[in-house]
Formats: sequence, C-alpha cells, structure tokens
Amino acid sequence: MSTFLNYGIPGIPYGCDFALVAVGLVLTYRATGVFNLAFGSQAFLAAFIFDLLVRSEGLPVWLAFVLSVLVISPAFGLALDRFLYRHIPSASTTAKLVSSVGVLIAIPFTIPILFGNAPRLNPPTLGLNINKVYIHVFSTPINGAEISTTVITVVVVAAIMAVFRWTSIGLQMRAVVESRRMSQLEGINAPSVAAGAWALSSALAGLAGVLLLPLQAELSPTNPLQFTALLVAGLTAAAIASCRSMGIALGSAIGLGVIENLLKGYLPSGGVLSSAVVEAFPFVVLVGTLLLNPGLRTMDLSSDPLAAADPPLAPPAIAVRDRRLERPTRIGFWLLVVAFLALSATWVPGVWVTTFDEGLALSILFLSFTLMTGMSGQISLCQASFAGVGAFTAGQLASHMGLSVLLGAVVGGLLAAAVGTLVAIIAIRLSGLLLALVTLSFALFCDQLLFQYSWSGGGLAGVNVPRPVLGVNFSSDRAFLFLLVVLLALSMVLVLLVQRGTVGRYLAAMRGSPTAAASMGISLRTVRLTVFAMSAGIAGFGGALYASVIGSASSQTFPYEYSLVFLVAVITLGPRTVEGAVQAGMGYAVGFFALTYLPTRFQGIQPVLFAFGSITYAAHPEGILEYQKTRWMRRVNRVFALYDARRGRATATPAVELAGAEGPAVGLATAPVRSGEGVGV
Amino acid sequence: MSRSRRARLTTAVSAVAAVALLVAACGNASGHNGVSNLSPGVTSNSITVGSIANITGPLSSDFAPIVNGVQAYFSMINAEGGVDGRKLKLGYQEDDQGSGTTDLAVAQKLVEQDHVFAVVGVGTPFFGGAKYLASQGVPTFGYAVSTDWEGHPSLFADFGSVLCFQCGAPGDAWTAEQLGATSIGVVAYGVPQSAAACNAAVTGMRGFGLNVTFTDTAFTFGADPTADVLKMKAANVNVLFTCLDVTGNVAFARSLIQNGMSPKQVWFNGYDRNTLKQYGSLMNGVYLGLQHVPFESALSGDYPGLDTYIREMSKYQPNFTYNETALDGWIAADQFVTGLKAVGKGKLTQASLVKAINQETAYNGAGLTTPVNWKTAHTLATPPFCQSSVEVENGSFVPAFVNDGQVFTCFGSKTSTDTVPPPAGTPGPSPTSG
Repeated sequence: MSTFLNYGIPGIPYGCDFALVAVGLVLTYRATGVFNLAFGSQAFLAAFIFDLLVRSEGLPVWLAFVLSVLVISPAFGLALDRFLYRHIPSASTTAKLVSSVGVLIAIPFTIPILFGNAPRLNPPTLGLNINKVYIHVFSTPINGAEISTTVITVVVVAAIMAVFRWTSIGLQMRAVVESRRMSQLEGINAPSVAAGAWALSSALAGLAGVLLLPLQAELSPTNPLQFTALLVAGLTAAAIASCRSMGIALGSAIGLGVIENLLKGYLPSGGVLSSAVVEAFPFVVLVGTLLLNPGLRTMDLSSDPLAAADPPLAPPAIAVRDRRLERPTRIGFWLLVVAFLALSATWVPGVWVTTFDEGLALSILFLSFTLMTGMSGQISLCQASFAGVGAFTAGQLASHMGLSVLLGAVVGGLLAAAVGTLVAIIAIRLSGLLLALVTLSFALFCDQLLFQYSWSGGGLAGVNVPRPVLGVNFSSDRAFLFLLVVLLALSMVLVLLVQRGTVGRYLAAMRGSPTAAASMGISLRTVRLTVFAMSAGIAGFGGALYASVIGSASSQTFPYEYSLVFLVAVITLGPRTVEGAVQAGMGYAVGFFALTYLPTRFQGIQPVLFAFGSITYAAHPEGILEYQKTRWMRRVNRVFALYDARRGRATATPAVELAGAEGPAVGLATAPVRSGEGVGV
Repeated sequence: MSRSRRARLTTAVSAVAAVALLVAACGNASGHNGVSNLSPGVTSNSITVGSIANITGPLSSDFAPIVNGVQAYFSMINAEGGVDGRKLKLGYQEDDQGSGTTDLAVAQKLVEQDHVFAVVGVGTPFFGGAKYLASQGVPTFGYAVSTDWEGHPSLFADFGSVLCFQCGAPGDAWTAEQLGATSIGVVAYGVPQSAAACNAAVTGMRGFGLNVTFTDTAFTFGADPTADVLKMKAANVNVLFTCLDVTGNVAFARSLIQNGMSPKQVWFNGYDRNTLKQYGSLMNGVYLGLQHVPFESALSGDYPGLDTYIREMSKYQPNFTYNETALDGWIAADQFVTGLKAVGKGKLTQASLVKAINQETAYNGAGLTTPVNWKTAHTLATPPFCQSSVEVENGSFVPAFVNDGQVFTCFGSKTSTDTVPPPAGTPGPSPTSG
C-alpha cells in the first residue's frame, strides 16, 4: 500500500498541471463556445511576460503576477473577443477552430520576433519554493511548487464552478453560448458577457502558464510550443468531462496524472512493451474517450435556432469574372506556365529551383486540404502526419527493397490512405470539433511516438528518400521540377474530377446541410470515409515527393505543428480551389526561402502572417486571396459595366452577380455554380 | 463537368506533361554534380566563407554560439595578417531554424548564390544540406550531432565525422567503475538523438559486466520523474547516467534529492556556466563527460590552446564569451585554417584544401582535443577513444580524473575499460602512468 501511495500521490500535483489545461479548455468552451486550442499559447505568453517582468524589469513576483495574469492576460482575451471571435458566426465550428489554430500559431511565433531568441534559465516561480520539501504525505515528499499548484488549482476551479452555478453572470455566460441571439432577445448584453468570459478564461490561461513555469528549467522563446506537451492529457480530461463539467475535468486530470505515475511505477522498466504502454496511454484514453463518451457527440451541434440565419458563402472569383476576361485569363495562365517552365529550365538560379520543387511537392500535399476542408468543410489537424507516413514508406521501401521512389510514393500514398481510413472509421461518427480533436490526437501520437522508431522514422539518421529514376534521372533539381509539374497537374485533375463528380456533389450537399443530404439518401458515412481516405492518400503522396526533394525524412520533418501551419497556409490562400492549394504550396516554400534574406529575428514571420490570414477565415472562408480576387473581379466588372453603358450595350455580368452580391446559398443549390470552381483558366 | 471542358482540360494537362518531360530530359542533361576546380569566394586578399547554424529554431542556444567561435578565431587570424596574405571573411551567416529543409536551402544559397569558398561553422540538429555540400565538394566544418557527416571526404566534423555512441561505452563504464557503481540507472528522452546515446551506454556497460538495474530511454519532456526516481531508489541505484536537456536533468536532480537519494550523476549535457550559476545547488556532485580540454584547466600552463581560446573569446564580453558550443566553432575555424596553411602558397581550390586536410593524421583541434586522423575519420571511429570529465564541487566545475595534469583518459578499444596513454599529439602533459 505504501508503494502504491508513493507512486500515486506525486501524480496529484502532476495531474493538477493537466487540470489547468483541461479546465481552461472547458471554461473557454462553456463560456465562449470556442474550443480554444490556443490555450497553451496564451499560457506561454503569460509565462513569458511574467518572467520578463521579474527578470528584466525587476518587479516583485506578486506584482509581475498581477500584471501578467490579472491585467495583460484578460486584456488579451478581451482583444481576442473584440477583434476576432465576436465576428464569427455562432454556428460555425470550423471557423472557430481555424481561428483558434491561427492564434495558437501566431502568439508563440511572434514572441521571438519581439523579444529575441535568448533562452531564460531558472524562471521565477509563484508561491512556495520548488526546491524545498514542506510536508510528507504517507512518506511522500511534497515540494513548494506541488503544494502551490494543487491548492491554487483546486481553489480557482472551485471558485469558477461556483460562479457558473450560482451567479447570474454564470447563467448568462451559459445562455450566450447556447444561443447568442436568443439571449440577446432576452435582454442579455451578449457581447459584454462573451467579453467577460474571454477575459476570465484568458486569466486562467495566464495562471496556468505561471504555475507551469517551474516545470521548465529553461524557458525558450524558440521552443514556443513546449507547453503543448501537456495538451494531450489536458484534452483527454476535457473530453472525459464532455467539455461541460469543470469538476469532472479536474478530477479526470488528477486521475490521469495518478494513473500515469502508477503505470510507470508498476510496469517493468526498460521493456519495449512497457515503454510503449506508458507512452501510448494518454492517446489511447483520449481516442477512447472521444469515441465512447456519448456526451461529446452533440457538443458541436448548435442549439441556436437562429444559427441558420448566417449569410451563405461568397462565390469564388471565377464565378464573378466577366466573360470577356475568360480568354485573356486562359492565355495569360498558359503563358505563365510556359514561362515558369522555360525560366526554371534555363535562367532561374538553382537554389530557387529547389525552392520551386519544394513548393510543387507541397502543392500536391496541400491539395489534400482542398478535399478535406475546401470541399467537405471539415478540419483535419493531421495532414502532415499522413505526409510523414507517405514519406517514410517511400524511403524505407527504397532503402530496404530498392523500390523506385515514385512507386514508393504511390505505395506511401496508399498506405496513408489506409491509415486515413482507419482514422476516419474511428472519427466517422464525429464531425467538426471532434473530428479535429481526433486528428490532432493522431498527429500528436505520430509525432511523439510512431515516427520516433527506426523502423518508421529512421531513428537518428532518418530515412533517405532518393530522387526517382524513370528512364530519365531526376537527381537534378531542374529535371525533377518538370516531373513534379506533371504529377501536380495529374493530382489537380484528380481533385477536380472528385470535386465535380458524384462525391463532390455529395460533399457540397453535406457541407450545406448534412441532415438534408442524408434525407436524400446520401450516405454521409461513405462520403466522409471516401474523402478522408483520398485526402490522406494525396497528403501521403505529396509528403513522399516533398521528402524526395529534400533527400530525406526524419521524425522532425513532419512534426504535428506542421499540420497546423499547413492548415493556416491553405486557409489563408484558398482552401476551396485547386489553384488555392498551389498558391499556398508555392507561397509557403517561396516565402520561407525569401525570409532567409531577412535578419534572423524575422525568420518566423511567415507562420505569423499565415496565422493572421487564417484568422480572417470566419469572414472569408474562401481564403483571403480568393476574397481579394473576387473583389478585384467585381471592380473590373464595374469598369466593364461603365464601358458598356457608355457604348449603350447590355452588360455581360455573370449570372452569379445577378443572383446577388453574396452569391447563392450554400448546399445543393450551389452545385451548378460551384462547378465553375477550378484551375482558374 | 461538360465533355468539351473535360477534353480541354485533358488536352492542357497532356501538353504540360509533354513539355515538362521534354524539358526534364534537357534539365537532367544540364544538371551538374561533382567537385569544382575553381575557387569561389577567393580573391588575392580575402577568402569568403559562410556558416549555417540553428539561430532561431528550437534548442537554438545549443547551436547558435558556434558562429561566435568562428568569428573570434577569424578575427585573431586576421589580426595576425590572415593566411598567406588573405583575410578571412565570414561573409554569410545563415540560420536554418533547426530545420533540415531550410538547412538544405541555405546551403544551396551559400554555394550557388553567395559563392562561398567553404562553410565554416555548421551547428544544427538536422544537417539537411550535408549531401548537397558534399556533392559540390565544398569544404565544410562544424559539429556533428547526426550521421549526416559520415562518408563524405569534404565534410570535417570537429571530433571526426563518424558519430559513434558505442565508442563512448568504455569511458562510461570506466567512469561508473571510478564512481563505485554497484547499481546503475540510465534515463533518456524517447527521441532518437537522446535515446541512441543512452541505449549505447546501457549496452556497453552491460557488456562490461556492470549492473545496470534501471533504464528509461523513453522519458517524456516535462513529465513527472517521481516514478522513475522511486524505482531507482528501490533498485539502490548509486550512479545515474542521463541523456537529457537542462529541464530534464534539473527535474531528476531535484526529485532525487527530495526523495532522499544521492547517487552520483553523470550528465551527457549541461557543461555550461550559466546553467551552473542557476542550478548549482542541484548540480553538486554531478559529473559531465567531455570531448575537449575542460575550461577549468586554463592558465595551468599545460594547455596553451585553451588559454588562447579563452583569452580571445573573453574579448567579446558581454556580447558573447567562451562556452562549449563556441568552442566547436573555434575548432572548426582552426581546422579550416590549418588546411589552408597546409595548402600553402600553391593554387588554393576547394579540392586542394580537402586533399590537404585529408592528409592530416593528428589534428588536435587547436590544442583542445585528442588527435583526429583524417585518413580514416570520415568513415571510421578508430581507437584510442578518449574523454575528459568535470565534476561540480561547491557550485564550480572542477576537472575530474586528472592524471599527472593530463585531463584525457583513453581506452584502447570499444571492448575494454583498460586505459592506455593518450596518443601522440594530445595536448597536455604525458602522464607517468596509464
């Protein structure tokens, strides 16, 4: 019994670390309706500011705590509400998720730009001394930080629960989340209540960051996602609590901490199996909870009866283009392609050709988002992991069996599709938020476990992924560029065929109204499964080609955060069209390389720009670039209209413009018009 | 999609494919690989080189200072008039952000756009540009933490290009014996870079018959170490080896103390004065294995190379100063200059520099390391295998296991903990006993 307690008791303060994340997620979700994936980033920001105020400004710890947790963190939350979430339609789970991913990426990548890269050793601690044992519980030593974390966590969670349960403010918060517009009809000042909720949840994020600081002997601005190590356990506890009960979240988190410690204590050390069990434990619990907890199934289904009053999606740029522009645009496009090929073959410096190669391979990878997010309106946060599956498969097959990399890439794509199908079978009953969480947990599983083995990720040396040989040796970057162009074109055609075929029509219907689509006999399960598998397959194929461009792949080539960065890149530059994927792929690679010309401090600015771009997803789900293209098309249309009016001719404005400025409604009705989406030629 | 549009699209794609494949053949024909005989970056009065380091990526503090060592060494050489009348210019300092992909891109940029003569000062966890630099025959110098350096005649890592964790096993076992190990624990993160080092130590020590009673080579960053500590306590572990970073080492050191344990600890990372300054109370009694002369041996008169290094680096305070990573840059720069001097006044080309360095059989890293034989060091890690050590005493690093002033302890093979005299060319005095 004594051994049991010795293993289990330290799990309580450790579990409280999880609980801070879990309760933060639940609080934000309950108070604002947003599953705030950026919670860890907000915690990191507060911890960084706390450290900065103590170390650089010489403020006392208590004053730094007040400023960072009680002033700056809530102010940041208010800013998030005022400038971001207030403008997101109440029913759009995808928009809220994308926005939170944008914030998740933007905050930590901004910090090194503003404050430099120097790591900070021995960050200050709030409360009791971590190096001093204050009490023994059943002979288990408890240090100051463990006491502080446990006491503060329990007290704060109890206080927040009391506010939610017994105060009118709490009731109003819950009402606003259930239906913002209905609560407004009841006379509740919904914007103020939501702002208050954001301030409160952000203060909790700040508190979590400061309390977690003692776990970090070194706070590094260049490792901004270090708090996400707690994300899996935090997510799991929040899921067990169905994102509703903070008390259950607290209890679950502590339970997870205790069980993890007990597993580590009682399983034999050094064994492969026991290591795997301990490492996989949080993921197994998370996925099991997401699947088996019935309370989660309905969490992202809106109960807002006015939710459907949101405006429909804007039409794509091509749909508002004046017909007279079609021919010049098509000619211009092909001239651009020919010029790109000719210049890449001759004049462009080699270093840029490699960058173009990377961009083309990424474009193929990003086409998976066109299927997944652009067409089906769902969020996958593990596309980089599928890319990794493809890359490692191609590399291992080439290394061990001498298989051609191109064939290996196809096999890798198929394997990624198979893995995607498995994930989809797990997630098939889920949609929106839960699908995103399952995919995020899969990405974390790949990153922290699956890709770390030598049989998969190649271990220390990684996996060599050579260039393909198809009669022609593609070891030269210039030669490979042309092969990639061909493969990209074929992939684009494949996606276009899907987009315009039966599956595409079903997806359009599903995106507009799953219920209506099901009532027409469309099998949502089959459609989702098909899309997920195809999307994973394309990601795997693109990932293998990307690895072939750079020559190798290791566990660090496709970390989980790349799934998030890739997502915000595509969201920013156009998730709905195949040319959007190409824009994103080329923009990502070219932008990344162009930034190497800037001073090192600004090297991380690209994810920040993409993140801010993705934050506009709520307002412009077609992507900020597509939105701007549409605006410019409309301006050109007006010029044509003026020209026609002066000539006394009837204008040739496209049908969709006549239908209304915002275009047609979402769903089946859009199908004839959406067929205009395409390569933009 | 209408039939006409589908047909048009198919035609267009076919056209692109045809053009692409046609030009692909041309592209392949015009592609170039191999070693250049020209001397990019070399003029009559200067030699321009570049560096690649992880300046802004994760764990950048473990890699970025390598550039400081290169800069300081070049400044010293330039103050002495340069090499054969040519001043050394670190003209381009690239940041790969700890990404293999970016590393490849900036390597290409240095070669194709900046036309550097050599890359001096590579400090990165993912050396994605290694194969490319090797294929271009660009002399490249830096610190190896991956296997990317192996087998390429133009890539020169500071302590030899072969990353050989097994070669450290005799030293680990010998250290454990010196510390009176009766029960040994080993802890590493689950990532390959960490686990590979500690797994080799476990295999090696068990091979020498030592009693390794606890291993966890899958520890999670930020996790609670208590369960591991209690199991080590139950196994009466009295020597603990760790392959962790500062956060992990500090967490274990703290938990050991608070759970009433005081095993001797051997850290593979952490030889840093700032870390010691912040965590000295937790580090007392910790041993750290090194590959170079410990800084604390300076001014003893036995290691003039170290004295020079510390003197020159100290000139740059408070901007930067000496540390282990900067020392890697210093050695890289010294290896480069040693090669230039070996080429002499003959025609300086990348090929001639590579050839000259590969003739060296006892390069001792500016008097800071045991000799490297470049006739074999690209592909083999050959004995003797040497190490130095420091111990933390009363909040200070102190050279450990010093034998008649000689800080290096050497072993004749991977399978024996019997010590042998340091090879000829090793800096420091010759010990009277083996």
